[in-house]
Amino acid sequence: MYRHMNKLLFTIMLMLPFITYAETADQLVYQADQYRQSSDNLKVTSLIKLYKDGQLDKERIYDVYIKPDRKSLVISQSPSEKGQRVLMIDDKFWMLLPKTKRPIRITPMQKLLGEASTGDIASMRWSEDYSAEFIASHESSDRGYNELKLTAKRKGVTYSRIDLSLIPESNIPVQAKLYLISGKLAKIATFEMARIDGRQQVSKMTLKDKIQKNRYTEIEYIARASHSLSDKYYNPTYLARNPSLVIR
Amino acid sequence: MVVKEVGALLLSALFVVNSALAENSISFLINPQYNNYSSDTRFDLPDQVIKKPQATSQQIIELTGSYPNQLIDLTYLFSLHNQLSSNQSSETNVNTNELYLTKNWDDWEVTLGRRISSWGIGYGFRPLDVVQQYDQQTLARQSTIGKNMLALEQYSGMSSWSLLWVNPNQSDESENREIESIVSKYSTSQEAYDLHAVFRYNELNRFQLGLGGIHISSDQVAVHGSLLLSQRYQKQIHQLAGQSTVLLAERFPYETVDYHRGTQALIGINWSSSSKHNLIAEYWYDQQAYSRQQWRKLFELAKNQQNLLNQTAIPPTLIQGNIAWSAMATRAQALTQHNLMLRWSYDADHWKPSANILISAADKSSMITLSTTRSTHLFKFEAGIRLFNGTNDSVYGGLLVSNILFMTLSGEY
Repeated sequence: MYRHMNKLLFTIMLMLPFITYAETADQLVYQADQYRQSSDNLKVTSLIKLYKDGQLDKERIYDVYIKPDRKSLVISQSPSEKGQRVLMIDDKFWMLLPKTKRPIRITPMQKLLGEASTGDIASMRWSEDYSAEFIASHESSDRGYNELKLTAKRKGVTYSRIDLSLIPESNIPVQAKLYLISGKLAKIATFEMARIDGRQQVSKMTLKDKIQKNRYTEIEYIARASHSLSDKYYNPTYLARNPSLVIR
Repeated sequence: MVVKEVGALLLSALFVVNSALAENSISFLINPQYNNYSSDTRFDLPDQVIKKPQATSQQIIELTGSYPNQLIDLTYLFSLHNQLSSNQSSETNVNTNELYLTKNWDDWEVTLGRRISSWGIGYGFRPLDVVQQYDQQTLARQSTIGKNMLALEQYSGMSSWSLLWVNPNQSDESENREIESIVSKYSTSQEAYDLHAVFRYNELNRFQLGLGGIHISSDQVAVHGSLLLSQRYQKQIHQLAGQSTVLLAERFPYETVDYHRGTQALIGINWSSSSKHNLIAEYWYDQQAYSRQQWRKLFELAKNQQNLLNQTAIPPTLIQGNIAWSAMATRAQALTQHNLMLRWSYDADHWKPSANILISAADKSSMITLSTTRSTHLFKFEAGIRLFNGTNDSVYGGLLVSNILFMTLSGEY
């Protein structure tokens, strides 16, 4: 019996550094999240520009209302699709099409196939959707970075795996390699920082498409404000209730 | 009617002008269509008897907004609808589509006024849409006009409950949709499914009970269905159909016939792939539509009426008027009892093509719609064609129109 206990203790001691790193990795990701979403309840206005062969190909603007427990309400403000809304609660999704008053429950795949950028803007906290693993610390002449591997812990996330690079100590995100469920590298995201409301925050995220290599997307967070939305706005039936949503 | 609409518009303008918090948007829609007609149909008539415009166009401007107030919220939707037609004068309507006041107390809301309440699960048919009753198949865009109502609603977590008094004091039995009704609905969203239950009572249908749901079966597949049972329903039946002795009526030949225990049911499946294709398949049964036998009788009557045009003893205007009456059945919102719909769409980068086929299972006639859509930042554009196929004694083959070219340009600012 003592031999078994010794074996068990030895195994636990061997695992301890990795367990510590796992906890630390999740904390690092949480700290990185604060540069994108600093408040639990947030309204973000995102301007998305899609470029093809260096030319502006498509432009969309969205208001995103984010709440804890993975609640996110994305409202399109572009004239061509004004009134379109996507409600995301955990792994459940609903869509309201313009000029209709009837929300439709949709599958995770339908959510991904909509404007693909919806997935890129609806969730701004990796720590809610991914579990993190510390991979390595890289030194370089100008600036080193810590490399983490993020694995999706929920359905319906756009990317099943992310290789995330963070500046040591500050944990400012530098780069994120975004992989599809097939394992294929889909995009590489880079982040621009700016001083907003007295603190460093991500002001723009650029996504270079690694599948369609002549394309890239810029997501500019043109407005951010703490904003707590009443729970009933996250009720699918209420999604259709107000034709022009005035949030109070 | 115009005075009422203008008055409502001015009242809302006062709210809007006095509020810094009002949020308004204005939208436009232009929807031209080019219609080709069949001469092989049993309802064919000269242009002077039945208007067969080759070109039509709808232009709609909508003003919508919401004015929140400490005490009560006002929501409005007004529209200006202009219809152009190649062989008719234009027609312009100003509508109050929605105008309602809402008072909130925590999870509860009371609404008074005119509001659009669209319910139901399904793409081609929604049995549970007992309040608004959209026509799902029309190409002619309309600015939807809501129903007058007093509503009490509760929103709690992922569930909601509604009690509506719709069309208070309306007793016009000629238009079922405008009848005074008491309606209740309960909806809940759970992990993998949504469920809806509907109850409605009015003097026409008496009790109606409905149940519907959608189940997210996998990341790619959802299954949905709904069922509405009605204690009573009505159909407009041509009194001369089904016999060949008397072929011409001297006055409007349709009578309203009561039926008991009506069923409307839908089942469907939705599949999306990572390669951006989407497929929807639905089957629905609508007992309130004409059966195959009822259509056969009407087509036989129309054929016999057409044969009378060769006889000089009968005034042609009397025969043509009767054929026009017979053709009125083709304008019903629900044409067939057994329906199968298949829809494919592809979510490409710019142009999004789609194909939709609606089959009348009883006579194998079909309506095929092919279209493509493109959205820029400022506009949405759609163009397509709708084709009607089948023999001249089938529902879709027997229609006056054989195909329609259509376009839509829209935007909201």
